[in-house]
Amino acid sequence: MMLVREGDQASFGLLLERHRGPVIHFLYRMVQNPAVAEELAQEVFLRVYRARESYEPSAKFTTWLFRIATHLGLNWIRDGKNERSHSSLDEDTREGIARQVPDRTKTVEQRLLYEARLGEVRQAIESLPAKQRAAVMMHKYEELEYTEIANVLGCSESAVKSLLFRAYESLRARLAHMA
Amino acid sequence: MDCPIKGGKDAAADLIVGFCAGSLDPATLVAFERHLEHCTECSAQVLAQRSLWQALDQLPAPRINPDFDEKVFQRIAQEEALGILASHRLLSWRHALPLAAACVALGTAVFMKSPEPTQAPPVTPPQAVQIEQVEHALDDLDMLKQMGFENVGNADAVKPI
Repeated sequence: MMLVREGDQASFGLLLERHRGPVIHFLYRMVQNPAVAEELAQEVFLRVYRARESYEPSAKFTTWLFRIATHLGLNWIRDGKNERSHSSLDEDTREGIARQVPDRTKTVEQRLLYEARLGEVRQAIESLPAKQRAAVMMHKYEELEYTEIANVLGCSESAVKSLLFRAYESLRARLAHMA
Repeated sequence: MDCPIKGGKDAAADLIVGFCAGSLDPATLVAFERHLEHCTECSAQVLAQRSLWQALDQLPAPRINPDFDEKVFQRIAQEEALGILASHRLLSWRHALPLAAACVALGTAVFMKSPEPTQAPPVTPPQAVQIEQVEHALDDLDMLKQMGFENVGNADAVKPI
């Protein structure tokens, strides 16, 4: 990032290569829409580029990056843009979702069951308050530490633990039948 | 290890979530594993959290668009182009405003310092009549000389007949 700050375009390319995956995945799980996730991820990197000259390495770069991504994701959710929150199987395929259908030898029933379970997981995540959702996404999928999540969300570490505890408790209750 | 559930929700959550996420430090991990051997309540919680973990693992990750980077660079280029235009616009305004002010000041100064407009004397057209009058006068003089006025043209010498 320090090289990017000095105007090195190649370093910005490297930064994109290294961080686009986690950012896109995080935003997709937040907004549950691949097209929106990609657009928001572009905006994240655009903001990083815009702010490159004022960047101060006071915190970890990923913390700063996820703070921008979380801010955009939460704003998008808050503004009620998530009317079409999760897409159907056909839409996902069209929009480039790498579905985790393990193999094509599965029977139709098994695939339907898988889709049904996936739908339930998505609905359970979507039912979480936005901040809890962001905390779970960062903890479960991006494997960020409590302190990092606290920095991203602008709260204390104990508040993050509390957020996560309540979020996992809700998810466990909603998805208990899947155990 | 005391049962974390009896120690409070936060402590229990921290341990159970940490255990499933694999983020416990080695000493705590060993102690908690020993505790799980005889605590059915904590074991049930761990089981529930593990199955939740597995359920969440099913959530797919989107395939990243191969031209994602290109799109970002395009947006940067667009922004920079717009930024350059905007700065040109700003520069032109920055220059135009003082220039306009200077013009107004200069115009005012010129207007204030210029002499008051005076009425130009009426331009008289060349009098062709005057030539005729001179000719007439000369003719009259000749005529008078012929009539016996010798000293015509010399006022002192003119004597009436």
